[in-house]
Formats: sequence, C-alpha cells, structure tokens
Amino acid sequence: MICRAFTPATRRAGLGLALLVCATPSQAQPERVVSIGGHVTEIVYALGAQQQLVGADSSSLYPPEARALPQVGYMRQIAVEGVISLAPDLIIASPDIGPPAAVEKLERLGIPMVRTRPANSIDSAAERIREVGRALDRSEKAEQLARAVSEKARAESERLNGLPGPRPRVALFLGHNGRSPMGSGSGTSGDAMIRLAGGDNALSGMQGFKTVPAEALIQAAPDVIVFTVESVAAAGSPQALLKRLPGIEHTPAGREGRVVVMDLLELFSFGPRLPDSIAKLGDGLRAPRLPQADGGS
Amino acid sequence: MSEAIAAGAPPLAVLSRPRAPLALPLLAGGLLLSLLASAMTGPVALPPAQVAGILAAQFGIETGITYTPMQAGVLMEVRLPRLVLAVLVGFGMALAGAAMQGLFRNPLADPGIVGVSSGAALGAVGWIVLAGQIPLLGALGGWLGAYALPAFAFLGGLLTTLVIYRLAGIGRPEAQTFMLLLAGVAISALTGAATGLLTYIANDEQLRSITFWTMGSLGNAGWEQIPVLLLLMLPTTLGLFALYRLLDALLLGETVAGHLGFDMRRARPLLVVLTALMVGTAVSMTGIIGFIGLMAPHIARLIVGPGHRRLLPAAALIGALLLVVGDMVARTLASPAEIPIGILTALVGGPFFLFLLLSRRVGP
Repeated sequence: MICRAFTPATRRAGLGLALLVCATPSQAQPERVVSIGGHVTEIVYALGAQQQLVGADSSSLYPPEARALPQVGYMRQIAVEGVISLAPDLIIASPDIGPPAAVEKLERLGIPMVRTRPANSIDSAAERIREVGRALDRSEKAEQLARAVSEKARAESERLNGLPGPRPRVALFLGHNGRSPMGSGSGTSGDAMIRLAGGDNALSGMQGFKTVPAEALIQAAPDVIVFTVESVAAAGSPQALLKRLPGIEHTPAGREGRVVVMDLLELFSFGPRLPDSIAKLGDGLRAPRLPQADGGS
Repeated sequence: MSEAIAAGAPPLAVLSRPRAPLALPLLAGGLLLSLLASAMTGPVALPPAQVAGILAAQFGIETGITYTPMQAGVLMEVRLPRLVLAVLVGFGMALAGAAMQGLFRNPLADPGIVGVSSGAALGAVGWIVLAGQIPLLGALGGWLGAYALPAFAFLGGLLTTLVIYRLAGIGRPEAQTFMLLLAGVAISALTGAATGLLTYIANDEQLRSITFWTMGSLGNAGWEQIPVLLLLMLPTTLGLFALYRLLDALLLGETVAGHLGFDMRRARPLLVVLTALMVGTAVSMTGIIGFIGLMAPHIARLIVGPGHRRLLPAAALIGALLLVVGDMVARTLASPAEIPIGILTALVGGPFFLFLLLSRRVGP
C-alpha cells in the first residue's frame, strides 16, 4: 500500500533497529506509527522505537523531542484525515481516544489500532508497557522495561511507605484557567499516586475530581497540598493557587505552606517514569517545607 | 416578478425589481465549484483524476484511473459525508438566519435569537456532564449510543424555544414579537447560567468535550447522519421558502403585514417553530457554528436585494458555500490537525460584520 512507497528511509531505520533490539522476525513490525496519548508516546520512546513514530497527539509532551512530531490534535478530538495523511500502519492509542465517530471511521478504513488499558497501579502501568511493546513487535525489550519499571516502582513505594513517622495526609488538586482547583478523590489516579508515594489521600471521602468546599477541606485537614506545574503556571505561584482554595488557611498544609508541585504527565501518565514520579512525589510529601516552584520544567 | 407579493396586495415595487438576475444560478455554480475544490483538498493527497475515478467507480463506470483503497476510503467515508453535512448545515443556518432577520426586522438577529443555540448548548453540556452521574441518563445513553448527544442538544434547543415562545404569548398581541426578543434574551441568560453551573462542576475531561462542542466541528460527519438531517430539514426548508410573501410583508412592519392579510398570531409561531427545528437540527449535529446564520443573509441582501423570494435561496446557497469553504480551510490550515470550524467562522465573521457596519450597508 501507499505507506511502503512513502518511506524507504524510515523503513530501513526501523528494520536496522529491530535487528539490533530483538531477535524476532521483523516483517510484522509497524513502520509508521501514530501515537495518541502522553503515556503511549513515553513508552514508545522508552522502548527506543521513536524512529517508527510519524505523528502524535497534543498530549504527547514528553520527552520534549516528541513535541516536534506532526500533531494530529487533542486525543479526544482526533482529525481522521489528518491521521490518515500520515499513512500510518498502526495507531497506538490511549483508551481516551475520541470522538467515537472518528475512531470508528479509522477502524472502518482498515488502519490497525491498539488501545492501551487505563492504568493507575504499578502492575497496570507495567502491563501497558507490554501492550505497547507487543504492538511494536518489541515484546522482549518491553518485558525487560516493564519488569525494571515495576521493580523500581515497587521498591520506591515500599521505601516511602516504610518511612517512620505519621503518614502525611495529602490533597491533590488540578485546576486550570482560573477556575477553582479540583480535588482528587478516591478512585482517581491522583489517589493511587498518593498511596504509592506513602501518603494518605485526605480527600478520599469523595469520588472522582471535584471542587472541595471550604468546610470539607478543613475537615479533611491535609498536611500537604499537591499542585500541577500547569495550574501553578496559570495562577502565577503556588501561593496564589493556595488562595483559591477556600478554607486552606485552617488546615495544617495551609498554615505551614507545604506544597508539592509536580508535572501533570509525571503524576498521571503511569508510564516508564513511574518509579521517578513516585520517588519525587513521596520525597516531596516528606520534605519539611518545600522550596516553592519546584520542577518548573 | 410581481407574483412575489401576495395576491391582491399593493405591489411593493422595490421588491419586484429583479436585481442581479443571474445571482442564483451563479451562486449554485459557485457552490458546486467549492464542493469540487473541497473534495480534492485535504491532508491526504487526492488529485482530481483520482476523485473522478473513485466517483465513477461508485456508479460502476470503469475509468482505468488507479487509486489506492485508502484514497477511496478517505473520499467516500471521510470527505463526502463531511461536505454534505457542511452544505446542509450552512444552508439551514443561513435560511433560518434570513427568516429571523425578517421576523424581527433586525439585521442583528441570528438564528439563535429564539433560544435554540443556548438551549441546545444546555442540552449538550447537560448530557456531557450528567450522563455519567445519573443512572437513568446513563442507561438512555447506552440505548441511544452516538445519537445521545445530538438528541439532547436538539431537545434542549426545542424546549428552550418553546418556553420563550410561551412567555412571549403572555404579552399584548401587537407587542409579541418584541416580547419574543426580550424573553429570548432573558431565557438565553438563564440557560447560559445553567450551562455555566454545569461547566463549573464538570471535570477536566468533560470540560474539554464542552469546549470542543461549543466551537463546532464537522469532523463527526458520517453517512448515517445525512438521512436524519434531510428528513428534518426538508419540510422546514420548504416551509420557510413558502413563507417568503409573509417575510416580504414584514419588511413593512407587522401592522402592515396584518393589513395585507397575514395573521401574525398564526404566522409568528410557524416562523419560530420552523427556525427552531432547522437550527436545532443543525446545531445538534455539529455543535455551535456561529456567524453563518448572521453573515449569509447580509451577503445575500447585498447581491439580490431585500425580496425574500430570491433572498432566501440566495442566503441558503451562500451559507452552504461559506461553510464548505470554511471547512476546507479548517481541515488544511493546521494539517494534520484540524481547527474547530466555529473559531474560523467567528474569525472571518467578526471582521466582516464590522466591515458591514462601518460601510453602513446593514439593513433588512
């Protein structure tokens, strides 16, 4: 089909790498992959398969090189023809890919699509690495990576959960565009990250992401607040963002000004960087008082 | 051309004088050309020969032109349904806009004036935010599938129009059109507040969906929508075209229209319902695509003059043309990504409207 004729160079590079990396026959290896979803792109890069990428969505921000790939738009609002114009022989997508009409059309046009499953645990993160590895015909490399990631993540999590002293009560907030920040209740990936990092979710009394009224926040009494880099950037500073949380001055976190700032993808992508994310969050939670504006990158 | 006026009515000379007699065929030709251009333009390369070959093959004609199955798929499954959707929605929005500018005798009237757009937005946002939280809605959504969002938008639009119309009916008969306008403003503010509240409690993911819906898109077009759209639009289109005499008479004011024999108590609801149906259908399929309904009638008036017999079809053709061209730009400008069409129409429509205002050529 057209895609073969398009890309002799990429094809050669892909084959070369395949021979280096895995012993399996490489005719099944996709040569033009479109990656939809930040975690998918991270995994593709971690598997060393970035030469096979011909496009990515707007949430593919890490590693920074990924931003130079042709953009097919936001993952929930994929442009069908834009994707097709990249002549992909495989789409690896987050479960959030949409709209359904676009997905259905891509399937009907016969472009193979692999969708990863949602992940909010060490095991499911490792499983996602294996899924992407299988799709790229790099199962062996993926297996090694998945094992390394889950071992390291588990070790970090055990270390952090075994630290002496009371477990910090943590409230994680997302918020953009000057709206009131939304707290991460139980069942969210924020909740999972907090527990992996050795904290207790102070907002576990509510489900999903919601705004937290003043009284509920005072009742929750968090010791530490976690913000995303993106929302802090939008608000100007962690202090400015703290002021948007009604009741915060009556909580231990507010009185002591304990804020941890983490990158959104770092927190939620549950990909190859999971061990580092757990360590960074956990160490941040335990830091007596964090210097502000950490991790501005 | 004097048959443009209701039989027995005094001739409205200015309306019966044909201006730009070839305007309608030319517009239709322009629309056809824009369709051809649009069919050949997009992120996937599809030269004219291939387009011709693929189309011919659909009718069983062997042309010997070679094309890949993917090219055929892109044309037949992605571009053509999208073009048809653009034509129908542009056509409908412009026609409804012309009717509302006629009823309200106000060049600022757009088809959303009777509350359809804001009601549809409330319906759509309500669905996006609440579907996952109310079990009954969730079950309904499972049953309706991809039609759930359009259905809720459509219902929201119609119900809001109904409420506005009922409120307007409370006023004195001679002031009802005025009441319609004011009730429209008030209810639109209320539905806007409700939409705002829903937006406030929405999570990030839902917010994204809401944002994209309010910016409009033709990207979800599929053949399965087209019969539904045609079914709803055909009677409303015929109905609005049939009312051209009434709209002409309304140029002179409601009182004069009454003297000319039009019963405004029956004519007004007809116009409002037809418009609400038309806009509700269009908006529910594509989200909010602004300015087409406002712009197209103005351009049409500049070309063919104020007589509705030719103004209505001209506006509709221009609306279709604008949306087809706009969508072509939306698909190609940021390729392989797409720009939401609503942003483009506003980007072009805003300055255009200012230009009209400044050159003082606005007026029904």
